[in-house]
Amino acid sequence: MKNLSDIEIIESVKRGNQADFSLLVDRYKERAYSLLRRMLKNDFDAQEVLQDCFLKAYRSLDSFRQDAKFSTWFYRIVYNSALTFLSSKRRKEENEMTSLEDVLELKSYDTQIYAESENAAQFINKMVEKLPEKYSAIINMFYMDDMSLDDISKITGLSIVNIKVILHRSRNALRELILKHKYYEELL
Amino acid sequence: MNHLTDETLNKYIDNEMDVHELNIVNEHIKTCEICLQKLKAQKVVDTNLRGISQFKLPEGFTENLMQQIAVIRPAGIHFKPQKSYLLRFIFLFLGLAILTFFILSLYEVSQSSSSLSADKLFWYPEFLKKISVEVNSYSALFKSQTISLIGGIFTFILLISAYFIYDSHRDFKNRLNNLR
Repeated sequence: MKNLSDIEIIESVKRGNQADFSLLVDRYKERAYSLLRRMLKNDFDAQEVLQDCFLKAYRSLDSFRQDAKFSTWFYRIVYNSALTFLSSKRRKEENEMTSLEDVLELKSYDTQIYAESENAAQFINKMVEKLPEKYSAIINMFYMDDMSLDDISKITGLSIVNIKVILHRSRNALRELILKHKYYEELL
Repeated sequence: MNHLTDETLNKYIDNEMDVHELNIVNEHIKTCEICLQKLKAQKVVDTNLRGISQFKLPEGFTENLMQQIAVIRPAGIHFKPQKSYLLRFIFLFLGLAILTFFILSLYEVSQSSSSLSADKLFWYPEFLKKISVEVNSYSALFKSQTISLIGGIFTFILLISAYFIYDSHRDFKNRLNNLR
Protein backbone atom coordinates (compact mmCIF):
# COMPACT_ATOMS: atom_id res chain seq x y z
CA MET A 1 0.00 0.00 0.00
CA LYS A 2 1.76 3.10 -1.23
CA ASN A 3 -0.28 5.48 0.86
CA LEU A 4 2.40 7.33 2.82
CA SER A 5 2.17 11.02 2.07
CA ASP A 6 5.19 13.07 1.00
CA ILE A 7 5.09 14.88 4.34
CA GLU A 8 5.14 11.60 6.30
CA ILE A 9 8.16 10.43 4.33
CA ILE A 10 9.95 13.75 4.88
CA GLU A 11 9.22 13.52 8.61
CA SER A 12 10.66 10.02 8.64
CA VAL A 13 13.83 11.21 6.83
CA LYS A 14 14.17 14.06 9.30
CA ARG A 15 13.91 11.59 12.18
CA GLY A 16 16.99 9.90 10.83
CA ASN A 17 15.61 7.28 8.43
CA GLN A 18 17.85 8.47 5.62
CA ALA A 19 16.99 5.52 3.37
CA ASP A 20 13.35 6.60 3.22
CA PHE A 21 14.37 9.44 0.92
CA SER A 22 14.48 6.77 -1.80
CA LEU A 23 10.68 6.60 -1.58
CA LEU A 24 10.49 10.22 -2.71
CA VAL A 25 13.12 9.58 -5.40
CA ASP A 26 11.11 6.68 -6.83
CA ARG A 27 7.91 8.69 -6.67
CA TYR A 28 9.21 11.69 -8.64
CA LYS A 29 12.23 10.58 -10.66
CA GLU A 30 10.47 9.61 -13.91
CA ARG A 31 8.28 12.68 -14.08
CA ALA A 32 11.12 15.06 -13.20
CA TYR A 33 13.37 13.30 -15.69
CA SER A 34 10.78 13.71 -18.45
CA LEU A 35 10.57 17.42 -17.69
CA LEU A 36 14.36 17.78 -17.77
CA ARG A 37 14.72 15.63 -20.85
CA ARG A 38 12.25 17.80 -22.73
CA MET A 39 13.93 21.01 -21.59
CA LEU A 40 17.56 19.96 -22.07
CA LYS A 41 17.00 17.74 -25.15
CA ASN A 42 19.75 15.40 -24.01
CA ASP A 43 19.70 12.17 -21.92
CA PHE A 44 23.06 12.57 -20.24
CA ASP A 45 22.53 16.23 -19.24
CA ALA A 46 19.03 15.43 -17.94
CA GLN A 47 20.32 12.56 -15.74
CA GLU A 48 23.13 14.69 -14.36
CA VAL A 49 20.86 17.62 -13.53
CA LEU A 50 18.23 15.30 -12.03
CA GLN A 51 20.81 13.80 -9.69
CA ASP A 52 21.87 17.30 -8.61
CA CYS A 53 18.24 18.24 -8.04
CA PHE A 54 17.64 15.32 -5.66
CA LEU A 55 20.87 16.06 -3.79
CA LYS A 56 19.88 19.73 -3.55
CA ALA A 57 16.43 18.79 -2.29
CA TYR A 58 17.89 16.41 0.30
CA ARG A 59 20.33 19.01 1.60
CA SER A 60 17.57 21.61 1.84
CA LEU A 61 14.83 19.47 3.38
CA ASP A 62 14.82 21.66 6.47
CA SER A 63 13.91 24.72 4.37
CA PHE A 64 10.86 22.94 2.95
CA ARG A 65 7.74 24.50 4.48
CA GLN A 66 5.21 21.80 5.12
CA ASP A 67 2.25 24.00 4.24
CA ALA A 68 3.44 23.80 0.60
CA LYS A 69 3.26 20.77 -1.67
CA PHE A 70 6.52 18.84 -1.94
CA SER A 71 5.88 18.25 -5.65
CA THR A 72 5.66 22.00 -6.36
CA TRP A 73 8.73 22.72 -4.23
CA PHE A 74 10.74 19.98 -5.93
CA TYR A 75 9.60 20.90 -9.44
CA ARG A 76 10.72 24.48 -8.80
CA ILE A 77 14.19 23.13 -7.99
CA VAL A 78 14.11 21.02 -11.16
CA TYR A 79 12.88 23.84 -13.40
CA ASN A 80 15.35 26.40 -12.05
CA SER A 81 18.23 23.91 -12.25
CA ALA A 82 17.40 23.27 -15.89
CA LEU A 83 17.39 26.99 -16.67
CA THR A 84 20.68 27.46 -14.82
CA PHE A 85 22.20 24.56 -16.70
CA LEU A 86 21.01 25.94 -20.02
CA SER A 87 22.36 29.40 -19.33
CA SER A 88 25.68 27.93 -18.20
CA LYS A 89 25.90 26.19 -21.53
CA ARG A 90 25.38 29.61 -23.06
CA ARG A 91 22.34 28.57 -24.91
CA LYS A 92 19.98 31.18 -26.10
CA GLU A 93 18.31 32.89 -23.17
CA GLU A 94 14.63 33.51 -23.40
CA ASN A 95 12.68 36.35 -21.96
CA GLU A 96 9.47 35.55 -20.13
CA MET A 97 7.61 36.01 -23.38
CA THR A 98 9.40 34.00 -26.02
CA SER A 99 8.79 35.32 -29.46
CA LEU A 100 6.32 33.59 -31.75
CA GLU A 101 9.18 32.81 -34.11
CA ASP A 102 10.44 30.18 -31.65
CA VAL A 103 7.27 28.17 -32.07
CA LEU A 104 7.23 28.69 -35.79
CA GLU A 105 10.65 27.06 -35.94
CA LEU A 106 8.71 23.81 -35.68
CA LYS A 107 8.15 24.03 -39.40
CA SER A 108 11.83 23.37 -40.06
CA TYR A 109 11.47 19.93 -38.40
CA ASP A 110 8.15 19.18 -40.01
CA THR A 111 9.27 17.26 -43.09
CA GLN A 112 11.68 15.00 -41.24
CA ILE A 113 9.36 14.23 -38.34
CA TYR A 114 6.37 13.67 -40.62
CA ALA A 115 8.41 11.12 -42.58
CA GLU A 116 9.36 9.31 -39.35
CA SER A 117 5.85 9.26 -37.85
CA GLU A 118 3.10 6.74 -38.49
CA ASN A 119 0.30 8.64 -36.80
CA ALA A 120 -0.66 11.86 -35.02
CA ALA A 121 0.44 10.55 -31.62
CA GLN A 122 4.00 9.85 -32.79
CA PHE A 123 4.13 13.10 -34.74
CA ILE A 124 3.06 15.21 -31.75
CA ASN A 125 5.31 13.34 -29.33
CA LYS A 126 8.35 14.10 -31.48
CA MET A 127 7.29 17.66 -32.18
CA VAL A 128 6.96 18.46 -28.47
CA GLU A 129 10.66 17.67 -28.12
CA LYS A 130 11.41 20.37 -30.66
CA LEU A 131 9.55 23.08 -28.77
CA PRO A 132 11.68 25.71 -26.99
CA GLU A 133 12.59 24.78 -23.40
CA LYS A 134 9.93 26.75 -21.58
CA TYR A 135 7.23 25.67 -24.00
CA SER A 136 8.04 21.98 -23.66
CA ALA A 137 8.35 22.35 -19.87
CA ILE A 138 4.89 23.89 -19.63
CA ILE A 139 3.34 21.34 -21.99
CA ASN A 140 4.96 18.57 -19.93
CA MET A 141 3.67 19.92 -16.61
CA PHE A 142 0.19 20.74 -17.91
CA TYR A 143 -0.47 17.55 -19.85
CA MET A 144 1.77 14.84 -18.45
CA ASP A 145 1.79 15.87 -14.79
CA ASP A 146 -1.74 17.24 -14.91
CA MET A 147 -0.69 20.32 -12.95
CA SER A 148 -2.89 23.34 -12.47
CA LEU A 149 -1.98 26.68 -14.05
CA ASP A 150 -1.51 28.00 -10.52
CA ASP A 151 1.07 25.31 -9.66
CA ILE A 152 2.89 25.84 -12.97
CA SER A 153 2.98 29.55 -12.21
CA LYS A 154 4.54 28.88 -8.79
CA ILE A 155 7.14 26.59 -10.33
CA THR A 156 8.14 28.71 -13.31
CA GLY A 157 7.59 32.16 -11.86
CA LEU A 158 5.58 33.08 -14.97
CA SER A 159 2.15 34.66 -14.71
CA ILE A 160 -0.92 32.51 -15.39
CA VAL A 161 -1.74 34.71 -18.40
CA ASN A 162 1.67 34.09 -19.92
CA ILE A 163 1.46 30.37 -19.25
CA LYS A 164 -1.85 30.31 -21.10
CA VAL A 165 -0.32 32.25 -23.99
CA ILE A 166 2.50 29.70 -24.22
CA LEU A 167 0.04 26.80 -24.10
CA HIS A 168 -2.17 28.33 -26.78
CA ARG A 169 0.74 29.17 -29.08
CA SER A 170 2.12 25.66 -28.79
CA ARG A 171 -1.24 24.07 -29.52
CA ASN A 172 -1.98 26.46 -32.38
CA ALA A 173 1.38 25.76 -34.01
CA LEU A 174 0.83 22.01 -33.68
CA ARG A 175 -2.72 22.34 -34.96
CA GLU A 176 -1.50 24.01 -38.15
CA LEU A 177 0.79 21.04 -38.79
CA ILE A 178 -1.99 18.56 -38.00
CA LEU A 179 -4.21 20.35 -40.51
CA LYS A 180 -1.45 20.35 -43.09
CA HIS A 181 -0.97 16.58 -42.82
CA LYS A 182 -4.69 15.92 -42.48
CA TYR A 183 -4.16 14.00 -39.24
CA TYR A 184 -7.54 15.31 -38.09
CA GLU A 185 -9.08 12.62 -40.28
CA GLU A 186 -8.07 10.16 -37.54
CA LEU A 187 -11.01 11.58 -35.60
CA LEU A 188 -13.52 10.64 -38.27
CA MET B 1 -20.30 34.74 -39.55
CA ASN B 2 -16.53 35.12 -39.22
CA HIS B 3 -14.41 32.03 -38.78
CA LEU B 4 -13.59 30.78 -35.30
CA THR B 5 -10.53 32.49 -33.84
CA ASP B 6 -7.57 30.74 -32.21
CA GLU B 7 -8.76 32.04 -28.88
CA THR B 8 -12.22 30.55 -29.38
CA LEU B 9 -10.78 27.19 -30.36
CA ASN B 10 -8.58 27.11 -27.26
CA LYS B 11 -11.46 28.14 -25.00
CA TYR B 12 -13.54 25.35 -26.53
CA ILE B 13 -10.84 22.75 -25.88
CA ASP B 14 -10.28 23.97 -22.31
CA ASN B 15 -14.03 23.91 -21.52
CA GLU B 16 -13.99 27.60 -20.71
CA MET B 17 -17.16 28.44 -22.67
CA ASP B 18 -20.63 29.06 -21.34
CA VAL B 19 -23.68 27.39 -22.92
CA HIS B 20 -24.44 30.40 -25.14
CA GLU B 21 -20.92 30.49 -26.61
CA LEU B 22 -20.95 26.72 -27.09
CA ASN B 23 -24.20 26.93 -29.04
CA ILE B 24 -22.73 29.57 -31.34
CA VAL B 25 -19.67 27.41 -32.05
CA ASN B 26 -21.75 24.27 -32.60
CA GLU B 27 -24.06 26.11 -35.01
CA HIS B 28 -21.12 27.57 -36.89
CA ILE B 29 -19.27 24.30 -37.48
CA LYS B 30 -22.43 22.77 -38.96
CA THR B 31 -22.02 25.04 -41.96
CA CYS B 32 -18.29 25.82 -42.01
CA GLU B 33 -16.05 22.98 -43.12
CA ILE B 34 -12.84 24.98 -42.53
CA CYS B 35 -13.65 25.63 -38.87
CA LEU B 36 -14.81 22.04 -38.36
CA GLN B 37 -11.44 20.80 -39.59
CA LYS B 38 -9.65 23.29 -37.37
CA LEU B 39 -11.61 22.16 -34.35
CA LYS B 40 -10.90 18.51 -35.11
CA ALA B 41 -7.22 19.28 -35.51
CA GLN B 42 -7.24 21.13 -32.19
CA LYS B 43 -8.84 18.09 -30.55
CA VAL B 44 -6.21 15.79 -32.08
CA VAL B 45 -3.48 18.02 -30.64
CA ASP B 46 -5.08 18.11 -27.19
CA THR B 47 -5.79 14.38 -27.04
CA ASN B 48 -2.31 13.41 -28.15
CA LEU B 49 -0.61 15.91 -25.87
CA ARG B 50 -2.36 14.17 -22.97
CA GLY B 51 -0.70 10.96 -24.07
CA ILE B 52 2.86 12.21 -24.55
CA SER B 53 5.28 9.60 -23.35
CA GLN B 54 7.34 9.58 -20.18
CA PHE B 55 11.09 9.19 -20.55
CA LYS B 56 12.62 6.20 -18.75
CA LEU B 57 15.66 6.53 -16.55
CA PRO B 58 18.38 3.88 -16.75
CA GLU B 59 18.26 1.10 -14.14
CA GLY B 60 20.05 1.78 -10.88
CA PHE B 61 19.47 5.53 -10.78
CA THR B 62 17.94 5.44 -7.30
CA GLU B 63 20.64 3.12 -5.93
CA ASN B 64 23.45 5.34 -7.25
CA LEU B 65 21.81 8.42 -5.88
CA MET B 66 21.22 6.86 -2.44
CA GLN B 67 24.89 5.88 -2.26
CA GLN B 68 25.79 9.54 -2.63
CA ILE B 69 23.14 10.59 -0.14
CA ALA B 70 24.45 8.08 2.42
CA VAL B 71 27.54 10.19 2.97
CA ILE B 72 25.81 13.54 3.37
CA ARG B 73 23.40 14.96 5.88
CA PRO B 74 20.66 17.43 5.12
CA ALA B 75 21.41 20.84 6.63
CA GLY B 76 19.70 21.49 9.94
CA ILE B 77 18.51 17.93 10.41
CA HIS B 78 19.85 16.30 13.51
CA PHE B 79 19.93 12.60 13.07
CA LYS B 80 18.88 10.41 15.92
CA PRO B 81 20.40 6.96 15.78
CA GLN B 82 17.97 4.14 15.12
CA LYS B 83 16.87 2.73 18.46
CA SER B 84 16.54 -0.95 19.12
CA TYR B 85 13.15 -1.28 20.76
CA LEU B 86 13.66 -4.99 21.49
CA LEU B 87 16.85 -4.27 23.42
CA ARG B 88 15.17 -1.49 25.38
CA PHE B 89 12.28 -3.77 26.26
CA ILE B 90 14.63 -6.49 27.50
CA PHE B 91 16.52 -3.99 29.70
CA LEU B 92 13.27 -2.60 31.06
CA PHE B 93 11.98 -6.09 31.85
CA LEU B 94 15.20 -7.08 33.61
CA GLY B 95 15.23 -3.83 35.58
CA LEU B 96 11.65 -4.35 36.73
CA ALA B 97 12.41 -7.98 37.67
CA ILE B 98 15.39 -6.93 39.81
CA LEU B 99 13.37 -4.16 41.46
CA THR B 100 10.50 -6.54 42.22
CA PHE B 101 12.89 -9.09 43.69
CA PHE B 102 14.49 -6.43 45.87
CA ILE B 103 11.13 -5.15 47.15
CA LEU B 104 9.93 -8.68 47.90
CA SER B 105 13.15 -9.35 49.83
CA LEU B 106 12.61 -6.23 51.89
CA TYR B 107 9.01 -7.19 52.53
CA GLU B 108 10.07 -10.62 53.68
CA VAL B 109 12.67 -9.15 56.02
CA SER B 110 10.20 -6.69 57.51
CA GLN B 111 7.64 -9.46 58.09
CA SER B 112 10.30 -11.61 59.65
CA SER B 113 11.53 -8.79 61.87
CA SER B 114 8.07 -8.31 63.36
CA SER B 115 7.31 -11.99 63.88
CA LEU B 116 10.65 -13.65 64.46
CA SER B 117 12.97 -13.49 67.39
CA ALA B 118 16.30 -11.64 67.35
CA ASP B 119 18.09 -14.98 67.18
CA LYS B 120 16.49 -15.83 63.86
CA LEU B 121 17.18 -12.35 62.46
CA PHE B 122 20.84 -12.97 63.20
CA TRP B 123 21.18 -14.75 59.85
CA TYR B 124 19.94 -11.76 57.78
CA PRO B 125 22.54 -9.36 56.37
CA GLU B 126 23.06 -6.25 58.50
CA PHE B 127 22.02 -3.71 55.84
CA LEU B 128 18.70 -5.50 55.25
CA LYS B 129 17.95 -5.33 58.97
CA LYS B 130 18.45 -1.54 58.90
CA ILE B 131 16.35 -1.06 55.79
CA SER B 132 13.57 -3.23 57.15
CA VAL B 133 12.87 -0.64 59.84
CA GLU B 134 12.34 2.00 57.13
CA VAL B 135 10.16 -0.36 55.09
CA ASN B 136 7.83 -0.87 58.01
CA SER B 137 7.08 2.84 58.18
CA TYR B 138 6.54 3.10 54.37
CA SER B 139 4.33 0.04 54.24
CA ALA B 140 1.98 1.74 56.68
CA LEU B 141 1.54 4.52 54.13
CA PHE B 142 0.40 2.10 51.38
CA LYS B 143 -2.20 0.48 53.56
CA SER B 144 -4.50 3.40 52.71
CA GLN B 145 -7.16 2.28 50.21
CA THR B 146 -7.32 5.71 48.44
CA ILE B 147 -3.63 5.60 47.58
CA SER B 148 -3.94 2.05 46.32
CA LEU B 149 -6.88 3.09 44.13
CA ILE B 150 -5.02 6.10 42.67
CA GLY B 151 -1.99 3.92 42.06
CA GLY B 152 -4.13 1.32 40.30
CA ILE B 153 -5.80 3.87 38.02
CA PHE B 154 -2.46 5.51 37.23
CA THR B 155 -0.94 2.15 36.31
CA PHE B 156 -3.93 1.30 34.14
CA ILE B 157 -3.65 4.62 32.23
CA LEU B 158 0.08 4.04 31.77
CA LEU B 159 -0.51 0.56 30.36
CA ILE B 160 -3.19 1.80 27.91
CA SER B 161 -0.95 4.69 26.74
CA ALA B 162 1.98 2.34 26.27
CA TYR B 163 -0.20 0.04 24.19
CA PHE B 164 -1.34 2.88 21.87
CA ILE B 165 2.19 4.22 21.43
CA TYR B 166 3.41 0.74 20.57
CA ASP B 167 0.51 0.17 18.18
CA SER B 168 0.95 3.47 16.31
CA HIS B 169 4.68 2.82 15.99
CA ARG B 170 4.05 -0.68 14.62
CA ASP B 171 1.51 0.70 12.16
CA PHE B 172 3.94 3.35 10.88
CA LYS B 173 6.69 0.77 10.45
CA ASN B 174 4.33 -1.51 8.53
CA ARG B 175 3.35 1.31 6.18
CA LEU B 176 7.01 2.12 5.55
CA ASN B 177 7.79 -1.52 4.85
CA ASN B 178 4.87 -1.79 2.44
CA LEU B 179 6.34 1.00 0.37
CA ARG B 180 9.63 -0.79 -0.18
